[in-house]
Amino acid sequence: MQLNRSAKLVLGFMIPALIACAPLFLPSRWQHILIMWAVWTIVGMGWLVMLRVGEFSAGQVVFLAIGAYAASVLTLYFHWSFWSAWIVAGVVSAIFALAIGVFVLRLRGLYFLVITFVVAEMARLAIAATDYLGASEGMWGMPGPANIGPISFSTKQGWFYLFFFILIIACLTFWRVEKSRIGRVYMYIGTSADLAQSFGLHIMKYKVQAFVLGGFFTGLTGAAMAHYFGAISPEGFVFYYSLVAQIVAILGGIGHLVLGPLLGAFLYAGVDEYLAIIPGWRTLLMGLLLLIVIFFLPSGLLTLRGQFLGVKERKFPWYFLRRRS
Amino acid sequence: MVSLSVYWVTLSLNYVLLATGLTLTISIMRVVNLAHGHFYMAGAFVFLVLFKQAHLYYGIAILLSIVTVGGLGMLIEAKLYRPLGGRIAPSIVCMSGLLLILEGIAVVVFGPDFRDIPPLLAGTVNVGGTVVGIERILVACVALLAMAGLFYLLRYTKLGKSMRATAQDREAASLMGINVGLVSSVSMGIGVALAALAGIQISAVYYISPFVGIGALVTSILVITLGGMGSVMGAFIAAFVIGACDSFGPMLVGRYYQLLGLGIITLILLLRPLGLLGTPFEVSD
Repeated sequence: MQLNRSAKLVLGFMIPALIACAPLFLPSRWQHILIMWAVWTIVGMGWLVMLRVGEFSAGQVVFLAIGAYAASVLTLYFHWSFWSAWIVAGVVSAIFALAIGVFVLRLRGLYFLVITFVVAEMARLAIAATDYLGASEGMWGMPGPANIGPISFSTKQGWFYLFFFILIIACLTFWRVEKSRIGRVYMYIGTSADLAQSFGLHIMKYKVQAFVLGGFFTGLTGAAMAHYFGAISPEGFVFYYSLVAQIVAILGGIGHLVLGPLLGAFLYAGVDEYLAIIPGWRTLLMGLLLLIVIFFLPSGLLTLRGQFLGVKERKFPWYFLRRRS
Repeated sequence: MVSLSVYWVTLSLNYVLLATGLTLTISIMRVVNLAHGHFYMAGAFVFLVLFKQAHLYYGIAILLSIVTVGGLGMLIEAKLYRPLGGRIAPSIVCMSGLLLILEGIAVVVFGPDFRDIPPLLAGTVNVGGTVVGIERILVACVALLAMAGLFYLLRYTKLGKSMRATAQDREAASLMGINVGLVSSVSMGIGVALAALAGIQISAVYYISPFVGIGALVTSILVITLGGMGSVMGAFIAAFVIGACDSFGPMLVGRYYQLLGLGIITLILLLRPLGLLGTPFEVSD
């Protein structure tokens, strides 16, 4: 449906406002689902922004882990307030992304894929080997934030608003990125890095920028998640969750940086609530889902309507770049 | 010290199998096969089923497992990977999906516990003053045999030559009359079969579980990154280096021994970005 500008603005305000009222009438279980929806949207956007610049990140979960553990260490061992620890955790994640990105993004070929994967897994193993971080048992009992006025953090209500807040900020940021010159530059670089460079665009700057952006928000989310769950362990940051970022983005639609993961995460969070108790089947079904989507709807559900109308996928050639043999 | 060295050798030979398999699949697929570790796991489980449930002879079970998993690899290449037309992102996602499917099947069918396989030749032998299980020596011999066979295949047979040609330049190879599709499938099948063999061997001397796939993938990636992505000889050398990290590491750096491998790779990548024996045209952009 084609919406004119004012209709979009109205919807843009109404829908979040509606969601903001959710804790008043939704049962706790649904609040949890919506929280996970926010989490996976943000992680998915972090992955998708890297795909935009033409890099495939197989280690997004590492930022969740760093955010979670950094914040937990600060609140549990150093007795910082949640809010300061939360921000610092996001910054730490961003710095980590900077460090890795500057080193790896300059390498051609599939090194980024491989090294992000290895780094994520190694970080998890390192955490599991460190007693200070709780080793395999993890950390628990991290104090959450104090209640803000009528919003209580001892129930899900406060957490809902926190995650919703992060989601809004992240979505606004990535929306601005998508619509602005920066987003177009990302697409140029993703389509052909050499060509973009020959136009005078500084590839490394934009790739690292995208990586740090994704890392920052994912880190914030990880920190919030750690205190929401109250306990973290290395088991919660396995490779599967990096794949969830991919599932969420691809299922929803890689065409739109914000709406794609938003849609995909909503579906995933809803389904995961019921699948989480049968982890084996969950893994299997998610694998099948990935294959089905990649074969039958590679650009995601957002393009479903377009496909019905016979619109060919012209928008993102970089996603479909063939390898030169 | 001697027993640690024996451990080092057998572990490294296992890594050689894994890494060579990954090199082969990369040479065909142009992307890192993220599901590689899960074929390692699948090989061990198929062997478990064939040996324990179907009560086949040990050797026959091994051969049949390898052939089955190899065949699965060939099918995957032909039906899942090739229709994607070499597109990067869909290929990686396809392999990720495969990874999840394999792990899901393993957990659903076999449960999440560890399993091991009774050794073929129990008993020990005296080597240089320490006691070594015969099983390990057998495992090492099988691995060496497999590598020798692969080397012979690649170097001296027509199929091997076709495989090398296809890896070098697919289009030119097809212009030379090589059936590129068939050769691709076979390469993938062999690569995957090597991983399966590695899995079977590890389960004979240690244990296996549905979750070892990721660890195996990390190891094979470390090895081929160190050795150079296209090179079999490089993988061989690198496997022994990484094997040394994993066997002598715990003694030197305690529980962080896994980071040692990563550290070494970082160092090497800074000095020689293509790995020890890597060649530029292999998986470049």
